[in-house]
Amino acid sequence: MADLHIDFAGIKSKNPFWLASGPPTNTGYQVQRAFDAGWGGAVWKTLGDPVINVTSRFSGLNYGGQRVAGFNNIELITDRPLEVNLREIRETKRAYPDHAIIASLMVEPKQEKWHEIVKRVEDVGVDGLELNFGCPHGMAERGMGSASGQVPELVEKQTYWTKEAAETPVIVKLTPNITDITATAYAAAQGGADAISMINTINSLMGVDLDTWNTIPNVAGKGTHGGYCGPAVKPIALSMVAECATQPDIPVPISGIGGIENWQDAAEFMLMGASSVQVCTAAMHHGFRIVEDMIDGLNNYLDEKGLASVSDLVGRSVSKYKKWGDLDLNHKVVARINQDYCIHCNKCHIACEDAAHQCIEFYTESDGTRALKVREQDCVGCNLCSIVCPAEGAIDMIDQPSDVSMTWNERQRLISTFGG
Amino acid sequence: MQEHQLYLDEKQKIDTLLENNFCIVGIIENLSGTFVAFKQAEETGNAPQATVQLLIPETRKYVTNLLFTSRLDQSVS
Ligand SMILES: Cc1cc2nc3c(=O)[nH]c(=O)nc-3n(C[C@H](O)[C@H](O)[C@H](O)COP(=O)(O)O)c2cc1C
Repeated sequence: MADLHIDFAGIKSKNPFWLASGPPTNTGYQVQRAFDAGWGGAVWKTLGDPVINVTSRFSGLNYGGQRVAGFNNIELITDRPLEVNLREIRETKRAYPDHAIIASLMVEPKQEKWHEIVKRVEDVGVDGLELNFGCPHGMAERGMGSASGQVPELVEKQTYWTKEAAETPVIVKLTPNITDITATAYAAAQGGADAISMINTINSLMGVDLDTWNTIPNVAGKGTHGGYCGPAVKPIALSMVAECATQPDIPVPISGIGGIENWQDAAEFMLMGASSVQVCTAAMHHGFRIVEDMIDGLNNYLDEKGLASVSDLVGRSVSKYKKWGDLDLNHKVVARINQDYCIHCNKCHIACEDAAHQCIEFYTESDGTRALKVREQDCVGCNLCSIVCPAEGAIDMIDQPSDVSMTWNERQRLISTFGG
Repeated sequence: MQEHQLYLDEKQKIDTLLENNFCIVGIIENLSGTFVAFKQAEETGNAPQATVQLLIPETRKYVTNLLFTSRLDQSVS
C-alpha cells in the first residue's frame, strides 16, 4: 500500500482528495460526513459578506447517454452567517483533527476587509485559507470573485494583504476566465501565495429553452451567465495546471480542480504537477462515497507503478508538456484498419473524406466483399478516423519510426541561416 | 491528384538538382510556399542557378530534413 499522505504547502492531509468549495462543503454536517467517507480535506463553502441566492441555480448538460457531462451554476458564496460557519468549522476541526479544513474567503478588495476575515477564520483553527478570486457570476458584478481575479495587480495586492495577517498557508484560487492564467498565477506568487489552485468555474450560458425562449437555468424568466464545471471542463483545467507547472517563476504547489470524477482524473492532474486535487461536481452528482474508489484506485495504481508515495507521482509528466514549436515534425503515425474488428459502418471513410485527407478508400477483397483500407502514404496521422470509430480496436494508429527528430523551432533556426 | 504523388514530384525535382551537383543556397518562405534556391557547385563565374517552389508540407519538411541531417553529420564529424 502506497503512502497517500500529502503536505500541501504546509497543509497536511491523509490523502490528496479534497472537496472543493461549493455546495458539498456548505455545512459542518456535510463536511463531517465527507470526512467519514474518506475525504482528506475540505475547502469550506466561500465565506464573506452576507448574500441572497436566487432559485433556480443549477443546470446540467446531458450529452449523448451521459448525464451531467457539464454543470452550470449561478450560486453565490455562502448565504449563512459567518458566526454559524465559524462555529461549525471549529466543531468539525475538533472532531476531525487529522483532516484538513481550508477556509475559502471572498471580500471586497480592501486591506482591512482581508485582515478582519483572516483573523476570524484562523481563530477557529482552520489549516489554511483559499482566496476565491474565481466565481464568475454575481460576486464579480460587485468587484469580487473573477472581477478581482482577472486583474493581476489586484490578485497580487489582495494576496499580499492576506499574507500580512495570515498565519496559516494561503492558497490563491484562480479564475479560468482569463486569456493567460500564468499572468495571475505569477501575480499570486509575487503576492506571497503559498500555493495556487485552479480552476474555478468557466463563464457559460447552459442553453435556451426552445418552447419558452427562457435561458437555462432561469429565474422568473430571466437568466444570467453562470459558472461551468464538471467533466467537460477537465481538459481546460488540466492545460491550465500544465501551463503553471511548467513556469519556473511560479514556484508554488498547485491544487488541481476541474472535472475530476475518479482516480484516473486525479492521477492525470498529479502527473501534470498538482499535489492535491479538489472535487465539486462529481461529489454533487454521485455523492461523497466516490472517494472510496478514488483512494483504492490511486493506491493500486501507485503499487502497480512501484511508487511508495503519492508525492512520487506529482509532476512526472510536466517535462513532457512543451510549446508546439518544440514538437518533433518528423514523428509520424498512420491509421490502420483492423478488419477483424471493423463493423463496416463507414464512419472513418466519411470523416476522412469530408473532414480530413481523403485517404480511406474502399477496396474489394478476393471473396468479393468490400472493405476499407487506409492509403498510408497520404495519411497525416490526425487521429480523426480512430476518434469517430465506434468499434474498439478497429483502427490502430501505428508509429512510423524516423531516424532524426526536428522541431519547428530547430527548422526555423536552420532556415534563418539560409536567408529564410 | 493525391498529395503523396505531388510530394514525390516535388521531391524528384530536389533530388535531381542535388544529383547534378547543385546545392541549396537559400530558402525563403512566404504565403505562396517555400522557395528553395540552388546553385551548381564547383562552377566559377556564372554558375547555373535554379529555384524550386514547394507547395507540399511533406516536401518542405524533406528539404529542411536534408539540411538538418547534414548539419548534424557535420557537427558529429
Ligand atoms: C454549485 C456550485 C457552487 C460553487 N461555489 C463555489 C464557492 O462558493 N467558492 C469557490 O471557490 N468555488 C465554488 N464553486 C467552484 C468549485 O469549487 C470548482 O472550482 C469548480 O466547480 C470546478 O470543479 P468541478 O468540475 O469538480 O466541479 C462552485 C461550484 C458549483 C458547481
